[in-house]
Amino acid sequence: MNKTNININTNIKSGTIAEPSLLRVDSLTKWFPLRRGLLAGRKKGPGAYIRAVDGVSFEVKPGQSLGLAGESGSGKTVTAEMLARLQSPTAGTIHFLGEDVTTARSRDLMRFRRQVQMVFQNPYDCLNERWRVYDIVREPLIIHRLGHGNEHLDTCKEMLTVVGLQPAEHYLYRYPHELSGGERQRVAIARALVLRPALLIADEPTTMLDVSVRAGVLNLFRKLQQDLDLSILFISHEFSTISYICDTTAIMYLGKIMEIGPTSQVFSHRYHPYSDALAASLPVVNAEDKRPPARISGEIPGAASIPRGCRFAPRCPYQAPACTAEEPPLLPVDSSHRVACVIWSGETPSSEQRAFQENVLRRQDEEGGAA
Amino acid sequence: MASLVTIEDLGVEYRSRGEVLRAAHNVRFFIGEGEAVGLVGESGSGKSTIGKAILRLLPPNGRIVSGRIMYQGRDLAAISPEEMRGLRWSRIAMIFQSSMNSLNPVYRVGDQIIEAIRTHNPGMKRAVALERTCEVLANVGIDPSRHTSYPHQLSGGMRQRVNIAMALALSPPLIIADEPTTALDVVTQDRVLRELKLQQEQRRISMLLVSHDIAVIAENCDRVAVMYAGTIAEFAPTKNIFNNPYHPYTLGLQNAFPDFRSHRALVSIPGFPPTGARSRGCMFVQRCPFAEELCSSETPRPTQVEDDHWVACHFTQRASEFQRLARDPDTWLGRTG
Repeated sequence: MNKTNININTNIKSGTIAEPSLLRVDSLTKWFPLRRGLLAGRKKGPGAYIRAVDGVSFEVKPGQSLGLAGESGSGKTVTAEMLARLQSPTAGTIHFLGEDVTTARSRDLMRFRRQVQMVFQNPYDCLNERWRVYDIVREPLIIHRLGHGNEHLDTCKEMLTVVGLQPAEHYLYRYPHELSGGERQRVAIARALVLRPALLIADEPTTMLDVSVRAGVLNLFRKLQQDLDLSILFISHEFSTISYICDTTAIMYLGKIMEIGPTSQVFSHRYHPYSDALAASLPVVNAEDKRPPARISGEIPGAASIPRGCRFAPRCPYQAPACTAEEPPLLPVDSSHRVACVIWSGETPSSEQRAFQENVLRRQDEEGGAA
Repeated sequence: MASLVTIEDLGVEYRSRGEVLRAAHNVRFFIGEGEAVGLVGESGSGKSTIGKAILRLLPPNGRIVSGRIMYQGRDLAAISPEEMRGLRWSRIAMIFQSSMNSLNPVYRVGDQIIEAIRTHNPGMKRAVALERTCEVLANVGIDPSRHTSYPHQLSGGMRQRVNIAMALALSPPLIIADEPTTALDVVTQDRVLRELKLQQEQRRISMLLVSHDIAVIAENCDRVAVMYAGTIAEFAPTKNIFNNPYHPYTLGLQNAFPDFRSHRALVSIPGFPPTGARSRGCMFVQRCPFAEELCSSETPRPTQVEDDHWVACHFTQRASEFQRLARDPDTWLGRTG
């Protein structure tokens, strides 16, 4: 529904015009100083900052959904919070519909927020227990001064129907404590959608839900994408939910994107050793054979002490001297798929690295053969 | 296979503000010697309650109201609190999700394990206990020299390993592990589970693994008990649960569980799980696409359908029909809970 809006914003501050991206993020960075107050920022060098997000770039096209996957501490949530302008970036820019919104204030920020809404992880924390469902879903309309009071009822009914709370009348005047976890999360989604945003940021929206209910909420996200042409930025540590929802997936590690590309390719080819290790760590329901252990050592280090060179190198089974020399940039491996790893950008891979390369290419061939 | 623990018609109730919640009702299953049994269910299904009842660690408002928990000739539901205290750690060890935060922050982790060992072995020399401690730490993949570390110096994964080491330290025949890896990242979870599984198999320990994650249960358990609203819906060897399930709830769970390796559409079970058991009829009746009148009026008893395979459903003879229909998403559309 926002396809028509894309070219409206011609007052672009950055100068470049009308590429068809809804959201474009360039070198987005968030460092938290370890010292507060007067001494903040005085200390220099490693360990002075927690580098939660350390230069992340991507774009979301209208109607497309992007998944951010990674372990805890990878910076996915801070990224989402910056995109919703709940945190201000240390560096980098956010363009929405071509307009720079990185430091937008007051009315510009209001306008931006109308287009970008968020759904959070815990449906038990994010709804006001003293409000009825109607009050909760209606609040954004009041804040943004949209429509008349008597129209709100119809709008809210429509939204509850969209999110599968039917009949809407049955839910309008109930309190959150009368609802199950799945129903609460649907109310949170209805509230996010009531402004008809172009982009929905969902941070682990199904993690707290039970399996039998989660499938329903995941299907709702799919339906919203199709019916409302909504773009979704979906954050999860679960590969399975991301692969179910997203067209594009970015694998994050310690504040950086290690691999980004079409979801099916990222999960099936796994160009980055970290993506491969994550996938290999997931338990399987119907395993014929015993799953071999993932080839990865140690645990994710703190974001205050990010290793030199490739930040994954100390845990990587294919580490070579070149890995610790310089941080590998995110380079294309094909038209839509980019990877930050010397295995794909270095000139002389080690024999271990070559074996990994061959494995990836074999997986790719097998899939091509199967399809 | 000889069974180590046999749970017969166990009932547990919680009381709060004059109301009674039946958290477990007519629960029956067993854990064989050296076997891992998975207890899978959604939040509120009573799976943690069972674990706590076996350990007799129910909160003050909870109590065992019926049934027996037979373990090595004793009924754990009936013995005195003193006797039970003597059994914990030495005969039944436990690992909880929150265990990694349960270590005492002002004691070195090694000392905490040594204390557990010496409490149950009065007179054992400290040096002997230390040797034992280093051995179990090494078993779970921690450098034994880390026994002098304080909990805050260890990562979450390592703290959970310390807890597993502590559980193993007295070589108990039985371990109750309640969501032992739920708070950990996937990579760490996988490693910790592998270490736990390896020790369980090598030492021929029996384990009750409580988890909401079907895949974790599938990979680590020999048998599975599927819990729903305080009752066991189905209890069978793991292979049967996944390849030949009888209970409509088990069938529904399989459709609802996402897997990034497959591209099938997910189907949710309509409605949501109740908390606690109903007094009459099948617990799943409101969400079951195959429910009939009988299901609301009469509680199904566990029926043995094959060797080692029990199902609490009135219509076990229609299982193959259910299996076929359950694959069709439309089957699950009709009813709302």
